[in-house]
Parts: sequence; C-alpha cells; structure tokens
Amino acid sequence: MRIGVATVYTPGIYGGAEFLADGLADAIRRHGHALHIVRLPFHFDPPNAVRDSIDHAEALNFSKFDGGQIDQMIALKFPAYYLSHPDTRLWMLHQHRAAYDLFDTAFGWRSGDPETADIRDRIIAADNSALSKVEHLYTIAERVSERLRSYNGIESTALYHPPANSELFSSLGQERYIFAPSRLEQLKRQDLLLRALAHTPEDVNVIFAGTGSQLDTLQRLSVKLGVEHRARFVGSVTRQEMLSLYANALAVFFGPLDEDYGYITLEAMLSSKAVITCRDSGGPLEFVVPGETGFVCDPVPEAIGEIAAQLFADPKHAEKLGRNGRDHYDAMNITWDNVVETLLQSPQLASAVAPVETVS
Amino acid sequence: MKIAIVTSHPVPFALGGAENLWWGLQSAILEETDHTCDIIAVPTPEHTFAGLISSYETFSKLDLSEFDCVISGKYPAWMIQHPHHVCYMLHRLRGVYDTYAGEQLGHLEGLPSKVQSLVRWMREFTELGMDVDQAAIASCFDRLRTIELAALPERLAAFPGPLSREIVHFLDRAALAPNRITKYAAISGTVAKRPDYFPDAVDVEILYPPPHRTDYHCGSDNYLFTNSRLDKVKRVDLIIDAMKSVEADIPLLIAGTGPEEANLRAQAANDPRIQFLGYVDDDKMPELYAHALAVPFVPLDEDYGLVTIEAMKSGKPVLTVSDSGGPCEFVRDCDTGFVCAPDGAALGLKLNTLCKDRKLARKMGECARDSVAAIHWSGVQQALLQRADIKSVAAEAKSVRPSLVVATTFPVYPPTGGGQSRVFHLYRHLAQHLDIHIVSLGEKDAGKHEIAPGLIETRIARTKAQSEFERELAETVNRTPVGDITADMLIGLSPEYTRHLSYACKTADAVIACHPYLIRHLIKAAPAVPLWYEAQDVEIKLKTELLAGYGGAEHLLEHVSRLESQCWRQSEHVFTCAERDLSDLETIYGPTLAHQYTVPNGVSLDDVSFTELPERRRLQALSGMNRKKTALFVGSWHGPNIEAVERILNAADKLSDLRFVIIGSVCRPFEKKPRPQNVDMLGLVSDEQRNDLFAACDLALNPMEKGSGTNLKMLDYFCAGIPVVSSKFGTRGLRVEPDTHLTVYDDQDLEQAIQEVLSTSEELLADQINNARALVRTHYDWSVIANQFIEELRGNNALRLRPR
Repeated sequence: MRIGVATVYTPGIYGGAEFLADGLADAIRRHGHALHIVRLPFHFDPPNAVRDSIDHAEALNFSKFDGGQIDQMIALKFPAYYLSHPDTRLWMLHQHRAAYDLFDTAFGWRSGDPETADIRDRIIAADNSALSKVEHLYTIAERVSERLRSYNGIESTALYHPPANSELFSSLGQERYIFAPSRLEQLKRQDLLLRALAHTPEDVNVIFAGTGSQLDTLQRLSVKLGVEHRARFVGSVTRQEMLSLYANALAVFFGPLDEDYGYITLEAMLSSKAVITCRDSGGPLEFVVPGETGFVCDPVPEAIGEIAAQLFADPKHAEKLGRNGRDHYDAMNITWDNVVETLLQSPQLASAVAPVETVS
Repeated sequence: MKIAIVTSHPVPFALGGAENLWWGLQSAILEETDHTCDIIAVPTPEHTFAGLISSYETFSKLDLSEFDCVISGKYPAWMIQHPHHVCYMLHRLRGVYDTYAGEQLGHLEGLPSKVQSLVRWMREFTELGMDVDQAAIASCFDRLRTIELAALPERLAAFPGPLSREIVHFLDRAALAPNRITKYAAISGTVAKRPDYFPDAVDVEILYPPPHRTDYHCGSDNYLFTNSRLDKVKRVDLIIDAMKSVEADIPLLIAGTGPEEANLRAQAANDPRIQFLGYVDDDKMPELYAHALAVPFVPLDEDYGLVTIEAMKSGKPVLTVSDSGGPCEFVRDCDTGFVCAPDGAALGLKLNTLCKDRKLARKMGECARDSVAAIHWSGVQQALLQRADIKSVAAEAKSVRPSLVVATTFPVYPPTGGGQSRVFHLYRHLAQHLDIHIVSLGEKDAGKHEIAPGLIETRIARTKAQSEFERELAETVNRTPVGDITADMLIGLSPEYTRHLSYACKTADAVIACHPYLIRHLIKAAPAVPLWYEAQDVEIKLKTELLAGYGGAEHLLEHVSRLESQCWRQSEHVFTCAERDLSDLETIYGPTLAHQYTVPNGVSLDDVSFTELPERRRLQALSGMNRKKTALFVGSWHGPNIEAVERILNAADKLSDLRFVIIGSVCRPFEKKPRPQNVDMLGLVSDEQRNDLFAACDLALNPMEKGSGTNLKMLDYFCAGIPVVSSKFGTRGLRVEPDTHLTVYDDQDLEQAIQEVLSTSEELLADQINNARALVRTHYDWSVIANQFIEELRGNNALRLRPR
C-alpha cells in the first residue's frame, strides 16, 4: 500500500513532532509500504500566518481525486489534519494549544485580543467539524484525549509509542543520585527537586542533565539553598552518556506541569528505575503506578524530599519499584509495530480491538 | 540508499501528470531495487507572485539531509539543496520561459531603487560568471522580503511579468547549476532542447516515463478518439476542423473537460459524428483507447504527451502535427502514424486515409505498440540512479555545525563604524556555516539576540565602576578613549560579562579574541578550547600613534604589547585585514606557530546603492546650472583621516572651482578651524543622505598616507559607482590597478589627479566604474571573502568539533 503521512514543517525546527513523524515513517517502511509524506509549511507567528496554514490545509483535498494513488492517509498535526482524503486516520500530537489549554496563559493567546479571537473561533469550529468526521481518531497520550474530550466533546483513543533507541536502555547499578533529565525550563519544575534537597539528608544527590533558560536561575537557587554540592548540572549530554546516567541512577525525577506525554517516564521505566512525579504532571500519571513503580507526590518540595529520603534509605525498595516499572512497560506493548498496525488496521478490525490498556 | 522524491502539491490540490509520474517512479524503485524511496510533498501556493516566491524559499530551506539522494522534477521543489540531487525535469515554469507572453509589459526599467539594486545584483552573477551559492539564495529571499510586491506598479507586479520572470530565472539557474545537480534528465527531447531549460554543456539524458496504467490493450476500430484537457494549447479545434475532410460516418469521441469546452461544442454543433464525453474515469480509459481506429493528438509544443504513449501502447496509430513537440518524438510519419502540417485540412486528409484503409491503420498500430514497448519504469529508474559515484552521503551532509564564541570590547549591532561593520558582516556570513556567539561589552545591557541567522550577540553593559576607572585612566592620556585597552584589567568590575562569556564558551569548538584585549579572560573562560585571534589592526602601532607622549601612555602601551604578543603567539589561527599586518606582527613579536590568514575587508553590496554614470549625470543636472563639480571624502575621527582632510583642504585652496564635501566623524576636530569657502563639513549623516551624496558627486577622494589595514571607504566608493582618486598608499591591500579601476597618484599630486579625472572621457570613466564595481563583486563582497576564509579554515582542519 501507499501510505500518506501528513504533518507540518517549520524550517529549522526538529522537535518532538519531527521525531514522531520520522519514527512513524521508519515503521511504515519496515512494514513494506510506500510513503507519501506531506509536509505542510506552518508558521505560528504572526497569528495571521496560522490562518493561511489552515486555508492551505483545507485546500488539500485528495478526496476529489479519490485519494489518487495514496491508499490511506495518516494525519499527525494541526493544521495538517484538516486535509481531506477518503481514508484518513488521525494520530494527534496535540491541537493548537495556544487556542486551548494554553489560552489565557502566558504561553498562549489572550482573550479579548482581536487579532487572535477570530482565528481561535475558527480553529475550534474547524476542529469540531474535522475531528468529529474522523473514524479512526487516536492521540499520542491520554492527556491529549482528555483535552479533546473536555474542549471539543470528541472521543479518541491514546496510542503510545516508544522513546528513541528504546532497546538500548538498561540498569547497570545504583549510584547514589536521583537523575533529572529534561530541558531546564519553568514548566519542567526542576526547582521543586532542588528545594526538596533542602529537606533531605546530606547524602541525597541529584544530577540534572539538559540545558535551557533556567540554568542560571537553578544554579543560583542551589547556592541559595546551600545544596550546590549535592546538585550537579551536567548540561547537554550525548545519547550514550544519557543512557549511562539513566542506567546508574537510584531513581528518576520527572515532575513537569501538565506534560502531554513525556519520554522521560518511559525511559526511566525502560532503565528499571523508580519514577517520582507529581499529581499535576499529566502524561507521567498514565504510566506510574503509585507505590508499585514509583511515586506520585503533591507538587511541593517537602513531599518530594520525603520520597527521595525514603528511596535513599532503602535502595532495595527503589530497585524493586524500578523492576516493576520495566515489567509494566513491557506489558503495555509500546512499540512502533503496534502503532503502525493499529493505525493501518481496517475499519472492522479497529472496532473489534480494544484500546491499549492504560493505568488509572 | 534512502531516496526522496521531492515535489510540491499545488494549493488547492489538483491531481496532475506530475503526481502520477512520481507515484510510478516510486513504485518502480521500491519494487525493483533495495533502496527505500519516499515522496516528500510540500503543499505550496504557486498561483501568485508572492506565493511562488515563498514556495521557492520553502524548498530552499527544506532539510532532507537524512536522505542519501533526492530526485526533483519541477520548480520550486528543485530549490532543495542536497549533495546528491538528481533533476528529472518535467518542465520549468513555462509562463516565464517558453510561453512567456509578458513582452508587452516591457523591460525592467524605471524601477524603484530597491528593485533596481536587486535586479542588478542578480544579473551580476551571470555577467561575472559567479556561482549563486546557498548564502546568495538566502540573501535573495531576504532582499525580496524588504520589497512589498503588492505595492509595485502593476506592470512589475504582473505574474507572469518581467520581474517575476527575472527572479524565477535567477532562482532556477541557482538551483540547477552544475555544482548542485549530480545528474540531469528530462522526460522528453522536447523538454531537453528548450532554450534556457538546462545549463550549457551539461549532459541531459532523455528518459520517457510510461503512463501510470499498464492495462492498455487493443480491441476493435469503431471510432476516432482523443483525450486531453480542453484548453487552447491542446488545439482540439484543429481536430474538429479536420472532421470536415473526413468522409466516413465515423464518430469522434473527445474525452476531457476544460475552459474551451463551450467553444468546441459550438464549433462541432453541426457535425453529429462528434461526441464530447466530458470527464472520464481513469478506469474506463483503456477501454476507450482499445476500440479506437486512430488517435489524433495535436497540442502546441507539448512537453511530452502521455496520450501518445497510451494510444500507442493500445496499438493505435497517432496523428499529430509538426509543432506538437513531444508527440513528434514518437510518431514516425507513415509508419506509426502521421505527422501533418498544423492545419485542419492536412490532418483531415490523413484521418480519411486511415478510415478508408483500416488494414493500414491496424498495421501502423502494431508498429506503434512495438515502438513504445521499451518505455517502462525499470529503464527510467535504472538510468536515474545509475552513477558510478553514487555513495551514501547522508552522514557527510548531516554534520553538526561547529560553534564559535567571539569576545569583543564593543557592541556589534547595529554596525555604525568600520570595525563594527567588519565584525558584523564577516561573522554574519561565516554564520552560514558555523554557529557564532559574540559576547560584547556595551554601554547598555541588550541581552541575547540573534542579529543575523546563526549569529548571536549577547551584550553586557560595563558597570559604573568600570566606566569610572576607565575615565580615570583616560585622564592620564589626555582623555583619549581607552575603554578597549583597559578592558583586560577592569572587566572584573563587570562580572556579568565574564559570567556570560564563560557560559557561552561551554559549548564552543573554538573561541576568537577580536582585538587582543580580552584574551586572558577568554582563555580563563575556555581553557581547553582552540583560540583564534582576529587582528583587525596592529594595535601597538595604532595605539602608539594615538597615545605616545602622554603621561600614562607607557603603562598602557606596555599592556597592549603584552596582550597582542600573547594573542599572536598562543592562537592556533590568526587573521588580519591585510598581508602587511601579518608581517608587521611577526616583525614586532617574532615567529608564531599559528596558521595565518588574510581576510580583507569587504563591503555589503546591499547597503550601498549603485548609480550608473548616465544616471549620475542626470541627477547632477537636476541640481541646476550653477552647480560646481563635487569631490567627496568619507572618514571617521582617526589620525590618518585627519591628515587626509588637511591635504584636501590644501587642494581646495587651489581648486576653487570645485566643491569639496567631507562626511563622517573626521569633521569633528575641524569644527572650529577656518577652512576654504568651497569645503563643506557635514559630519555624521544618515545612510540616506550618504547615498544621495554618493549618487550625485563627481568623484571621491582617498588621499591617505598612513594607517594600517585597508581603506574600506574605497570599496564603498566603488560600490556606489563613483570615479575615485586615491594616493598610491591608499590602494594598499586592494587588488586595484591604476586606470583600470581608478586614478592613482604618487606623493603630492592630488590636485593634478583630480583634474585628470574631471577631463577623462565618459566612456573611459564608465569603464573604470564598471571594472571597479565588478572587482568588488568578485573579491570584496563579504560573502565571497567569508567563503574563501571558510575554505582556508577547512584546509587547515580548523572547523573540527570538540568532543563533548
């Protein structure tokens, strides 16, 4: 078959979406299909450019030609999923968040702004109309499905995919540090962990990997808290170093604010490490089983500190939680093969197969 | 190999020949080879001038470096840059090439200045035989962005029209230049032979693509059949006309729709044999061909014409006409069909022949089928991918850009002075290949900004404490500014600077001391990182001239000497503006192990507008009868410039018929001094004023006798198209030749040289001006200089990545 993959493209950007599209493309090729990738140029700034992109996506009408020689089309991203094709499957990364959950926050559009009000209305209307027509509607995570349900009243199924090089993760031992890999940004809340250190015994250490706008702030904070000798910032690391930092950690902390998905949770589980996350972290909650594979804390330093201290006092327990995490991961069938088979299955099959089991 | 077929999808999407062609090629590659082959399609609006340009830009920025080979066949997709790029051409944008109909819109004359300068800039690449590299392509889009296309006069904004034609030709030429294309092929000889379609002297392989279906077959012979879009160039009217000469009662079936349908129906109204089938589903097409007696197909200069192949694969003779293009490559007259003169009667005659002699028709049809049997995807696919030197290039292309950190004691953006301008433009162009982060010291914090693509400036304010100390030290040398020299000892008072510097250095593959003054802090911030030194001048010479004699000079100069010496000896790479500075540095500080480079000063052609001599004369005439001839000098407040102005004042005394205009901060020290009536000191002027003066003056002066480096003002003069008079010393470091590019004098003959220029014939002056401008374009444009430097750096393995 010839499979279309419709995504968007902004010059110079290679991020999560591009990783996802590449992973999907590889898996489709492995399944022996021909690929027809549609990359819709997309600019999110100025807001008017968003309008143009929507227009262009809506003008991509393959249905008029019965799809041409493209047998099935998988759409991934806003606004590429507005195109028409007689056999469309949607695997949504996220909607245009500036118009939804980020609306009226520092990260999205603001109410009362005449420049964006119209566009926002149009996006919501277009989403309502386009998404309700799609028979095969998947999202990358339960968090995305929840938003789709609450903002648009549309049901969808979460379909999980593995992090890059998932086969390379392993556990090599238990050095005495909590590993916190993630970009150093406010939304990732590394400061919670730093402040938690102040509530733990002296032998609790943290290694932060990654760079970002908060590096200076976090380093200053660690001095202010008097924990700078227990918090190391190793900056950006190679994939190999990253694997090794995972493999030797005692546990992994990942407590962002309302993350969609978050490979870090999965990578920690693949490395057989207990995961500490927060109850408002979003994505990680779909994977962490409290008390069995890790902990879900209140997003306050004291709570996180208490858990960290516990784990350092009882490494055996930490190890057990980690092993459970790996077992749990393996049981969920998070593989590219599963993604491709689910996305491409015929309509009859789709309704017969139950959605991937999620942890509540 | 990982192969990508790169194509655009029109917005709104329409399914055309191109899509079917790519799908066919993709299937063949996947089925018959071990390669992977994806289609990468970018939906791009191409129906307006602005849309088309943005589409070209989109593809120019598309990164397909993860593939080993890309195949393109059409504008704007072929803007993709890839080390293994196969062009299998379907056609160019015919409306601005072979079917251009914008002649009545006239030529590119009377253009707004920005457009004029863009057009001139584009044409110079052809005139001077220069490659249009990726940087120039980016620059073209940058310049286009500053032009509001919608606001242009209708004649210019027309699409297709003279300006869109010029731009598309420029971009296509860049995209399809031999240094960017590994293999050229075309879908037909007609396409391969069209003027301007391929670069001169390249091999173009003709590879006929088969139709997308394979189920064509031969049945009965009940009717005449043609299949095409009903628009003018398909000339279905010719076939209807030909029916007048056909005696037999045989139906003519016409499949297809289009804008001409109503006209054609009217034309055929009186002939009941003619039937319009409208849109015919693709699945029904083989059957329609199968039962035809013959297929007339007579478009005007068709690229290829799959109808011909489909008919012949169905075992049918094809009737075409001599100017149909593609079909004529297949139809052998009287053998596989007929090639007639392009008129209805001639065509009708041959249709009649076939109607009467059905045996002949069948025989011709069989020959036709045999003649296209060799057209299949295997052949095309093999030929496209068959190159002895095919190798996997993805790894090479995907290399990470090295990153450089530059420390300066002065802010860089926006550039106003010569030094700033050098830093900005040189690093801006280097940033096409490297990531560059300048950490500069300024009067105000400006944070971190991308001042050009890939070029970042973090500007940190010197603290009050540092400024106060600077002032105190300046007091010891008659208040001469010493902010640069003292940065080494005082930067500790502005700890934010060193903090940002060491942060920036964390990921650096090399660090550059731009001027010697921050070297010690740079080494501290990046102890294990290769150090480069940009010596814009021989500082010790310059500062000695500036400070010698004042009380505090000795101490400061010793400092300069120590830092400069350290830079010279400890750097891995040293680059200066002129060869002379390298030898001076060696004389003063002894030998160094550093690789040495001369990176001359350049100009940014975008910033200075060129005025041709006739236009200059016209502007001069506008200013009236009483106008005096005007000589111009530009300079900053700098010892050698001050001396040059004094020389000009002397000359002005003697040449009272001439007006002398001096601009730049060099006017400052003369503010209160007496000067001849015919000298105007305008001081600092805006870019606009400067450009006006550049456009209307008669000559420009460079009477320099001192100073290191080169005199950048000369290049500005050349760029602007002004006749130039320079001292011999003033030409140092530049590849100019007397009389070819300018007028050069020795010693004291400034006045005589000025008069010489004023009496030179217009033709000779125009030659000089054009030669000088071309020299700048080929040697002193920043992009040329930066590219050359990058090549030399590569040669010395300077652009390696540091292990992280």
